[in-house]
Amino acid sequence: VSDPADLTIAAAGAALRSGALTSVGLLEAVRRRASMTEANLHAFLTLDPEGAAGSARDADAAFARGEDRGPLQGIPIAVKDNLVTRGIETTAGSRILAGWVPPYDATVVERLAAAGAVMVGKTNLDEFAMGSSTENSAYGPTRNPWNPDMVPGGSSGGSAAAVSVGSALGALGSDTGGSIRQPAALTGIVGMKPTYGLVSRYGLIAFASSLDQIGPLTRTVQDAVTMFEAIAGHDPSDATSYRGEVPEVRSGLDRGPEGLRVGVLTELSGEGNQPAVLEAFQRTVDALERAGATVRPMSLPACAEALNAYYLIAPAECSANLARFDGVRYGPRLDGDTVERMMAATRRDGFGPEVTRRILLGTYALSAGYYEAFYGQAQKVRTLVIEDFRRAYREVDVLVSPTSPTTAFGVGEKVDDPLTMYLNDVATVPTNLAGDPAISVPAGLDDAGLPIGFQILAPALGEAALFRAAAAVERLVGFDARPALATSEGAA
Amino acid sequence: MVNAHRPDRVEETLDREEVLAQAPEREGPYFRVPPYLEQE
Repeated sequence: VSDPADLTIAAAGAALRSGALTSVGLLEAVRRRASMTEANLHAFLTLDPEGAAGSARDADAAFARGEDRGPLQGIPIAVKDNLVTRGIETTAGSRILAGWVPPYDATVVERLAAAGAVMVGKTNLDEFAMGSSTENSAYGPTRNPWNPDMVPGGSSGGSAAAVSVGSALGALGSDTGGSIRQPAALTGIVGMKPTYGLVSRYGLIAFASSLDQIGPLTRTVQDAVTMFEAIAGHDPSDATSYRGEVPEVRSGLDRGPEGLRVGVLTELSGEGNQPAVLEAFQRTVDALERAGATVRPMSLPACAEALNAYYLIAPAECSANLARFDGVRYGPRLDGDTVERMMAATRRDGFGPEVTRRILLGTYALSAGYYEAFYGQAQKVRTLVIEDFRRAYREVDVLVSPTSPTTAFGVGEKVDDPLTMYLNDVATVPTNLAGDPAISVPAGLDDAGLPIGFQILAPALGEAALFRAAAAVERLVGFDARPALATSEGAA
Repeated sequence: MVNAHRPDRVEETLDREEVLAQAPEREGPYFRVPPYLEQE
């Protein structure tokens, strides 16, 4: 690899420690990559050149003194713009937060800084993380580095595009119904959603609090482990934070799939998937079996209903969470002669169509007379999903499915058809409803040269099996393609 | 089952000036809003 922007976190870390590379040099390389590609991609909403340069100089000075805070020291990392950053504008992709400069850092941002990481900037997203294509950003869409006519997935599309193209070596995203895994799949990288509660949500602008979880997007499974280790662990500022030990995951990465019990999630691995996606999926499952895994089909009937339940529960929670955006405490305000008219005008102007749709849907689902028929039923389906997973994990260590039923679709292709857009999340939402961890690993390219993702699911706190299976898939697939825009011809 | 509440301790809070600086309109130490009731 000639350009440091194409290094993995692990390789860059080794180069920083051998003296072959400085953090300042590495930062220059990713900034050069960003300056060549941002006009096409629009992965970032805000760059922080001065802050990043200062952190990179600090990292180099620490290395010179012999101080080592671990594998992220001196590594350029991007952060999704729904994570608050002290002194740096944070919009969540919404006009209603335009110009807001948070007075505190999210816990995950603090932890990355404490690990010596260099925060390069804030990445684009669907407004308040509501979407599957990053087209719902109020600041314009992000495009796919493999083909800029295509979407990068969403809602963490900016983070995925930045890591895929080399404008950062890793990124943070958030996953409410697949928002880390689906864009990772569509951009040919690794994306991981931890067990609910393992990573603090303090400072994550809430979408659906019982489903939201922060996780890493990286180019390799090992790099995802590195970021996971840096951000996981109890935080008293998040009442839903898990108080027990974070699972130890690194020692199992080289164990291989021998003896691993793998269940193919039948409801998500058949009809409805694009043929090329199914082929790559089956090829990967066969490779796992040849390498010594025990593979069997597993039916989880409630997963077929999970999407319907998700699109009631998530909007219900969002309608409550987004009530705080009222034009009083932060963000822009529109005039009104009473406080009610001021708030209505501010919210009408500040929220985009998808966010408005979900607030209305959620308010309706929670309203008196309809609560039991919609929200109550959805919660019952959620319980069935949880029970289905619990039963399955008595017999297998991990479940697998395609991450997304299709590869990247065209910019503008699905914006006018929200139901079709929601179907992107069919394979990713069940695990959010259950609170379990999941990961997407690249499994190949389709005929158009677009990446395909392979999803692995594990029980709550089953991150060791999850990462072990992911590392095995990564080795078996041997995915080493790079997007067109990451090469000098593509970027020119 | 364990109680998930944290201890009830006074900790550092956000700086009032910094928080009010983000508000579209303020009056002294308060957020300023239009009247709640219709003017007669």
